[in-house]
Amino acid sequence: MIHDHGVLPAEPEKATLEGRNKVLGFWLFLGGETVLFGSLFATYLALKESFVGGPSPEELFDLKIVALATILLLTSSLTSVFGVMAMHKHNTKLMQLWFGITVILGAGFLGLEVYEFYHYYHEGHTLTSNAFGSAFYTLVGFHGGHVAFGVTWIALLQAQLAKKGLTVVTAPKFYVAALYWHFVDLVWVFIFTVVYLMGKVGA
Amino acid sequence: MGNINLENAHPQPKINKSHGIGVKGHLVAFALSIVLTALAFIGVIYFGDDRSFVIPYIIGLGIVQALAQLFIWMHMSEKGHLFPLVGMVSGVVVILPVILMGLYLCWW
Amino acid sequence: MAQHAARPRNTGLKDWLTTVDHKKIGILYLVAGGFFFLLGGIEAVLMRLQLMYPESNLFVGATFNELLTMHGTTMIFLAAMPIIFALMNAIVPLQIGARDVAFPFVNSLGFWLFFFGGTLLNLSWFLGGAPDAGWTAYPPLSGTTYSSTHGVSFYVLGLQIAGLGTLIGGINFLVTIINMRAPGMTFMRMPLFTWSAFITSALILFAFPAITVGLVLLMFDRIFGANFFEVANGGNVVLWQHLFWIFGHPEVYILILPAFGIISEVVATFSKKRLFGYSAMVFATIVIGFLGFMVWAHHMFTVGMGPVANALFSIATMLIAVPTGIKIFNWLLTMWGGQIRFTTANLFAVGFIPTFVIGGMTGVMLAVAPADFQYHDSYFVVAHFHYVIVGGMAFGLFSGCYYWWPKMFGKMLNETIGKWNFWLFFIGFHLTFFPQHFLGLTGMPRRVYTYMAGQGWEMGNMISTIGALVMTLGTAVFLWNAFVTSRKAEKAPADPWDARTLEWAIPSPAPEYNFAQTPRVRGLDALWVEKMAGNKGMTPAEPLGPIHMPSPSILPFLMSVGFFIAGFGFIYHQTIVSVVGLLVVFYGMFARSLFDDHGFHIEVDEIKETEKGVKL
Repeated sequence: MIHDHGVLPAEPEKATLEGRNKVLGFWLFLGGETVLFGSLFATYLALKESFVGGPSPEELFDLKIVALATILLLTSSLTSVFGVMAMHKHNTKLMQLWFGITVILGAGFLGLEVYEFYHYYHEGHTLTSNAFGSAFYTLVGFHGGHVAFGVTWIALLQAQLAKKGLTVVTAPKFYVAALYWHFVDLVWVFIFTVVYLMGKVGA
Repeated sequence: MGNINLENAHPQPKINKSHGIGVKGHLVAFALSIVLTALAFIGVIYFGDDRSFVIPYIIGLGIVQALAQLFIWMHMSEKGHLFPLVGMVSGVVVILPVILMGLYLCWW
Repeated sequence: MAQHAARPRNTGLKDWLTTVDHKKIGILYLVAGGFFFLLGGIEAVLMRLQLMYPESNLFVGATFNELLTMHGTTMIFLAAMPIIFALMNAIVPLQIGARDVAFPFVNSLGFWLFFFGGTLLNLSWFLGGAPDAGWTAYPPLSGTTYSSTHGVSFYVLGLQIAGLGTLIGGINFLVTIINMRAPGMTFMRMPLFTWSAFITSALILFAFPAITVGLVLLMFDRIFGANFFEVANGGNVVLWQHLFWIFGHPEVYILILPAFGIISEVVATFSKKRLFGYSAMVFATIVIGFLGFMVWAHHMFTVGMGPVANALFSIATMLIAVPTGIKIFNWLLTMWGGQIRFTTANLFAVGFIPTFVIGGMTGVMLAVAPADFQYHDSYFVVAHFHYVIVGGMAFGLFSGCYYWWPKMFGKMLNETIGKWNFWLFFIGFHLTFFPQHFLGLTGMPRRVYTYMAGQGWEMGNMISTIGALVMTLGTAVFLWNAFVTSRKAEKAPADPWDARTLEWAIPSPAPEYNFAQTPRVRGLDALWVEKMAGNKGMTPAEPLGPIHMPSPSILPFLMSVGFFIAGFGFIYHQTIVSVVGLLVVFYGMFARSLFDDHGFHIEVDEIKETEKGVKL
């Protein structure tokens, strides 16, 4: 139920039952996403040695790009935290700033990923080249898809914020998008560990 | 947890009550994440030959970082997060055996 | 934000396409699930006709494979799950004293995704052949080399879309149960059907993402030329089996737990006793849910996982017999000393118990890994899982339909026809599947379209086919009953069974807003507590006031159509079609996010009018 008292509560995302439902439902969805990415990791682990004549992970991966991508995504996670803090202080301008930076950093991450995939493609590492290729592009691509969705989503929310202002309806959306963004960052922690770093350790 | 009812739908409108963790805390968490990431990269670059050390080492760092982010950035430790916690833990518990299976298939 | 739209009054088709009312969505699930149940049933009967005599050639080879695949897939994903969702939608919010579900829009989206996913899958019959690799779709059989028609692609996309609907439906019920219980309705006062809906939803949440990934891998292999299951390029076919069964085994419990919940409600009501060992029942439900995730590899004993893995999964599987046994004994002890009324609902519940025990017992036999090498891929397995799924879940669903029909439709199903329904279905069921145990033990392989004469299998197969026809008759009687009931004028009272739980405290059928005033719950079996205290109904927890409702929306339907179109695009490698379909989906998401739904109010006058003359 929406109550307009004029005063926005301190945690506007939890002010209505709808808002609380949304946050809880989204957390549970992230629990399901854990299983989704876990299954993809299991697939990758099962197939990572199956490069059948194609380039091995050790030959392919460039840790410099990965390090840069990691820093971009980690920083964007931090800026989204600041965005939520600004929301709790009802500072719409600051919210726009922090979430705006988040979106830009996310887009930067995506740019790096596209560059990286393009590079690999020309080294003969494709979705169809071998089972390792299939598993790599599916796992990392699923994550990249999540980043792309998140970037679009947050940008869309910012447009809404500009138009509708901070209300008990828009606040939960930002809170949930920030949760999503942290989760995407969290998955990346395991991707750079399991895919890139372990790939560099070699067989 | 218990009952969350319509009746209690109005928390006190008090602004500026900081969220447990302030800007400083988040910056520390960020620095921690960067350090953990750097440690993992350095480990692989310098001790990459010693598989039996480096793999558990980087995975351990990854888990620590994930937990730090869950509890600091995603407020998992705060009250009202029982079901989110149960949800995430269940997800991990369910998928962990499958991931181990993935490893097993790899060695096989 | 203050302005609410006027109350929308959609009628006819538009109402059904746009509704976000959980009770109407429940009816939609029941109708669509019932339709697919008939379809799956016809496929089963056709297979039984083929197997009636040795070496007959009614449906041979590929046709039989298609029937077999579609029977399994349809029954599990498009019949059983939707009918469970039908009852969950119709009853769970009422049992916890909620006005609505947590996400009415998502609820509607869940239904339409299931519906269009199922439709997509079944269109394969008319478009070059249905999937033919079994409901488990093991590669390499399901790869393009051995399954070159579009059939398996229909399976992959159809299930992907339907599965997405199921997943969001599960999240909806979890949040509804956690956040929307009435005052006083603590977790340990929730009726067992709600508990089982809660655990089932949790299983859906954690099991479906695994099949999503499995289907994505298979789709990439088939459509984009990936190599997950192409052994020559480093793929691994066992990976699919693991991903499929980490979903597939919990799926079995997703199906059976709600049936357990229904049986618990029905047995308690018709014994006029509180459910025996309530907390043990709750505990057993949770334990079954947990163990359900730890036993998936018992479907793969013969794959060659080695003795250690086989032993571990064997023991874990046998452990499940313990909580299940707790349940069986608690039902028996609930009936013990009760004033038992053998209504149709209760007949199905009582018939369920021994039937399910047989299925459970053969389950423990199959859990013994060395013995499983003998049973594997024989009719013994077929007999086992039909005893738990039909003898367990289908009996439970019939019981639930008879029990809650008045709450869903406002009319009582005919009890005389109901008894015919039960006895025909019950006898037909045992005739069909009991002989299959022995067919399996004497070596008849499953999934094979014929057998030679002179191996002692003629009699068993003949009886089995006759049984299948009797079951069909039983189902037809149910449809007849539903038809007769719909023509009858007499309305059902609010509480026709002298029942115990909250859903019986409100009129039949439940009004749009469920509870005129949110009730205050004062104990387990909330309504029974009030009856024993001499009260006429529930004590309200709030004054009578206008009730806020969500607006109907066409977007869920539209988005599902988008997925449907995109599915076709993927199956036929038409990128533009896929893109168009996905654009429709994204438009739906965009519109939902951008345009706030202010909902509308049902005014006090209308509530009073509706509640007038309700007798308890």
